[in-house]
Amino acid sequence: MTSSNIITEDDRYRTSTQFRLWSFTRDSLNAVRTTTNRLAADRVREAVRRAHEALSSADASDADLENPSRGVSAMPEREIDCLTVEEELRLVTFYCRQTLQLGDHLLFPTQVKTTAVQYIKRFYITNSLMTYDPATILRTALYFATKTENHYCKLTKFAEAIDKTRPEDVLASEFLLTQGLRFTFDVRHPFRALEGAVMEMNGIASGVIPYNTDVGERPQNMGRRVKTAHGKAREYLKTSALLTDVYFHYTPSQIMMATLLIADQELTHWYIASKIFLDDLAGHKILATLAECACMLQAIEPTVQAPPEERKAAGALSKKLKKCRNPEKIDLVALQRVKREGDGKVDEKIIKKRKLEREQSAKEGEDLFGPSLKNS
Amino acid sequence: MAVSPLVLPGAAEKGGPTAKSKLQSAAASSNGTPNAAQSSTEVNDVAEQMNEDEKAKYVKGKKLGEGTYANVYLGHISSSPSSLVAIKKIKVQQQYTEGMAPDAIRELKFLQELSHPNIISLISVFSSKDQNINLVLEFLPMGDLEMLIKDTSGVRYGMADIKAWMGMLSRAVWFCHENFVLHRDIKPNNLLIAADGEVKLADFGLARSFSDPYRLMTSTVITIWYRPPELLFGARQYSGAVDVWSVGLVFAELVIRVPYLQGINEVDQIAKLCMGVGTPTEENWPGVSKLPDYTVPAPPSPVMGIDHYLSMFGTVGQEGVDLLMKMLIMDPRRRITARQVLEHGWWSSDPRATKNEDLPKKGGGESKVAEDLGRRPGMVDDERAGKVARKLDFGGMR
Amino acid sequence: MSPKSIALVDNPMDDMCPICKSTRYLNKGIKFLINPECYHRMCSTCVDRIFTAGPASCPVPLCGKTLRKRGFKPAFFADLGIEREVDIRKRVGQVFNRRQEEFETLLDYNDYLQDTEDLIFDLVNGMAKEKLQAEEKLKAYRAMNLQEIEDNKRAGLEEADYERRKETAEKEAARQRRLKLIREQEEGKMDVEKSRRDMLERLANTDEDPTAITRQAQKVILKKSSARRNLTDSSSDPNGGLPLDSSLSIRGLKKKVAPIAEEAYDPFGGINLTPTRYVLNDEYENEWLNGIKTDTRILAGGYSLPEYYARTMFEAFSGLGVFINDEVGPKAKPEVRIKKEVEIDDDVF
Repeated sequence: MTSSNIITEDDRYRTSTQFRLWSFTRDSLNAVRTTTNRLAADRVREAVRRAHEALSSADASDADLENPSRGVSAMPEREIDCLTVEEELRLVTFYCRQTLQLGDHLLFPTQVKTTAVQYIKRFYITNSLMTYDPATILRTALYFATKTENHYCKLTKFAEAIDKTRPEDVLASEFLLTQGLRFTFDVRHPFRALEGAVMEMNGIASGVIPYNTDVGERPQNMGRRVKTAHGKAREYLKTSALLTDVYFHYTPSQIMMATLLIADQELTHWYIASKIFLDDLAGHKILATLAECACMLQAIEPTVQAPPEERKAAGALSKKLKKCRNPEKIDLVALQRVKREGDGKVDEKIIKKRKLEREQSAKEGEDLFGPSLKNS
Repeated sequence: MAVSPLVLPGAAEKGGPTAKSKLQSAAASSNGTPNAAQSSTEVNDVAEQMNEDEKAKYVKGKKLGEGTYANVYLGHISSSPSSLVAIKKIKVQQQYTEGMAPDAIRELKFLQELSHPNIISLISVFSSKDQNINLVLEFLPMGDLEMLIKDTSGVRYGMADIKAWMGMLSRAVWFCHENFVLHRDIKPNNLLIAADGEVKLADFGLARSFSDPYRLMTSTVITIWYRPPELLFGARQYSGAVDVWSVGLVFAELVIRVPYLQGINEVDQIAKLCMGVGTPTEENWPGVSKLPDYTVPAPPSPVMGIDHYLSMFGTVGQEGVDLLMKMLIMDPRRRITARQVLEHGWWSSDPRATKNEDLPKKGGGESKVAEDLGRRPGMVDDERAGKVARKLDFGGMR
Repeated sequence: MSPKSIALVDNPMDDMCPICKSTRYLNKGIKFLINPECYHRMCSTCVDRIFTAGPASCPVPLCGKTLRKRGFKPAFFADLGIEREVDIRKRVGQVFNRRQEEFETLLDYNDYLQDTEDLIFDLVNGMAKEKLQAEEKLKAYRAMNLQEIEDNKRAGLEEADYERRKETAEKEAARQRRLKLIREQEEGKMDVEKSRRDMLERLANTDEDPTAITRQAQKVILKKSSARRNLTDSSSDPNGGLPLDSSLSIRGLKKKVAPIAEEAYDPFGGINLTPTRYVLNDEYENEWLNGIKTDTRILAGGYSLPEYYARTMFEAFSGLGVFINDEVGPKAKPEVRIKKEVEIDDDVF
């Protein structure tokens, strides 16, 4: 009758923001991360230089010594040893684990924890740990995920439940987070996909759902094998799939199939073959892609707790990070207040005064101002 | 695991050698105020740069209107002054202490994903320097369906026109459901009209994706006149059937040109529903009495039969009345689904749906655009304000 | 050789054939011809002599273009540079013959015109390489748009035909106006005659004051003719300056769009979301879901397991054949909304 346009499952995935904005080739992802890291390192060096200049000029005027401060002093006077891309990546993984554990502690559903982890991973593609403290960002990401995943938790309660956290600490970086997420909040996970595949395989196992007999009889003991594979695949999805880069390089369907492959290769092979013609180029390509994905997944053990050596390495890196934090971005609460004040909340006078000061400093051709940390 | 697992290196660092406070105070004393100039002088982050790039693609024009939730501006694409857009600038809600408002989050989350001719399209998003979020939306200058329905003296339309509008609405809802999204606020003034006559479903401030098994949802969604009985009875686990009920009531309203069930509060809404559709009972809806807030006025009125509908909505023909009745089946399990709506025989029966270009119009103009986009999801305007479920309580929102 | 602009200068060389060197002085009837292959000018005698037997090389030294007699024509412009440009414009115009109505906005149309001008410039003034590229482009465009070019050509012809008809109609209208005028003048003359006769009669048959009679008669004549003038003015007004058949005068008559056979109304708007990799069942076994299948309250609220099944199955297979490595560009920032792909353009509704 009409020229109906079949839009395939694949085409529909292509319309998602996860595909359009958050899918990368390995090279392109690495390129963006490298740029981010380099820019951040430059800015750290620049900020520390400014801070030291300010310090030396302040020495003369002898400012009050009681003003508490963090960060800048930790910076060595001269060369700053910044984190490399790989080091940042390892630390992000470490903080993602922390997020999962915090989520467990707060009894959040899987959906919230996993979305929060992806928010963190996405955020740190275009932002550096040296600029924004991962410990802060992870709280914000977790809190924000409760809002986007319909498991809302009152901010005050959320903050109370975590040590040394005030509501404003959580909110201060919310805008930064949403901007880093490019205002796309939907994350497509492979969990529901796994349930689908398992339900269908169960149906095949019990003979309720017919299957394509061209690919041979169904595997022996299929029901039991599906159950075992389901459990194992789920473990991978809850850990390795979140901590590695698979979400950036593969689709949820592929990730799910890859975890099933790891869990029971023969069973999964048979299942995919019964669905898709695998003997042509496209079929081979799917298998090759799943194998690659499985390989990437297996790079990280499917445990929430980091293995001891990983924890040790992360500890060392955290120390290193402390020495190369951008001193101007430590107090996000104060920064946020300053930004929001541009909102009309602040007196005209203050804005004018700031403007004058800005012009003044521009005239002098140098930025004397150090970090914007007043007392918090 | 520790009591709080968040033992993070660097996070708890407090105090330190005096030298650093010296450094710090030096910076502070040379300035006196937090440094606002910083943001303008420093190099952008990659994320900031991307945002700037996006922002540069659009030119914000005059303000079309102001609402509690957002301001709406006319805008155009920088490279093409004739390509108009509406820019909805979401206000930072100072009094909202929970960060980014739920309406904005939901609207962004779903509009970013859904692309369909009958769903308002979100062209871009960027933030302005004061951290306000700007949604670049397609410009829909011809008002909304509510305006057409209300203008009984100025706008005349018939069955073919109703069929056209209902077709576009049903497609939009079907597409949402195919993408596992519940809209949860379907009503005539959320159906905006494009310059070419296309109807577009807007305002996703209450939308959410289908809930997984055992996960609860809030029942206080959908403006009450369009709210289905299961939500009036407090169901916390429901389906796309809630939107279909709303579609049915929009259908009825298009015919009689006033809302079919106008309750003044939830209790009254149930009473109106019992009179206009029938009283929900265990007979016509097994299990209904188990719903949390199930109460119905006595004595029960019978479920309305086809004669009632034919006498009231007969202008849409036998098939049309049949479709309407299926949308207004009280038991959500038996109510027609969005897909089945589109498979119904009414669409292929005569008369054929009017072509977009021939549909009746009412010049809405820019001010209407502003009203449509800015009004919501905060509060609803004028006399309807008291009757809508727009007070979002996140606490009950699981 | 590029013909230099010499049009307005009286150049004696214009009267000499560069091949046989005969001049207008010797041969009064000499005719000069050019061939748009190379625009070298020569006299018709040379053309006959060299090319009658078949295609031959241009006799101008170093030119060497193969010319046919058929291709020769008298130059319309004395400046052969202009002649050449006009020919190129004609040639390009036959291919790039889009009309403004085909464009959605004026901007698009202007862009198109600009592109066409750029191409013409390359053909007219470009170096060999640019010329070649432009020729290729022209050829490719022609090949790609054959049908539309033909359609537009036909439309152009129809338009020319329409213009011609309109012109004829206007001429006819002018002729009618002229005839009318003549008729009026005739009538006027007759009126004057009649009045004069009346006056003479009155003068002859009465004893009124002859000067008064004459003055009165004069007045009557004036009145009549001005009345007639007003009459014709107002009678011609509805048609006014417009041609007789006013329907012909509407500028840019919309060409009749061939009536497309109306497709049946598709409530789905041409979008089909039927899954391709699985068949959705109404029911799946899943222990975890038994708690829902037996819970009256959940069921009465309308919670729909089929919706959940649909989602799990969709997610299990959505994107299985999407290869990010191949599909995502090296820049990895696909900015374009996929919207266009989803929109169905042949949705008749």
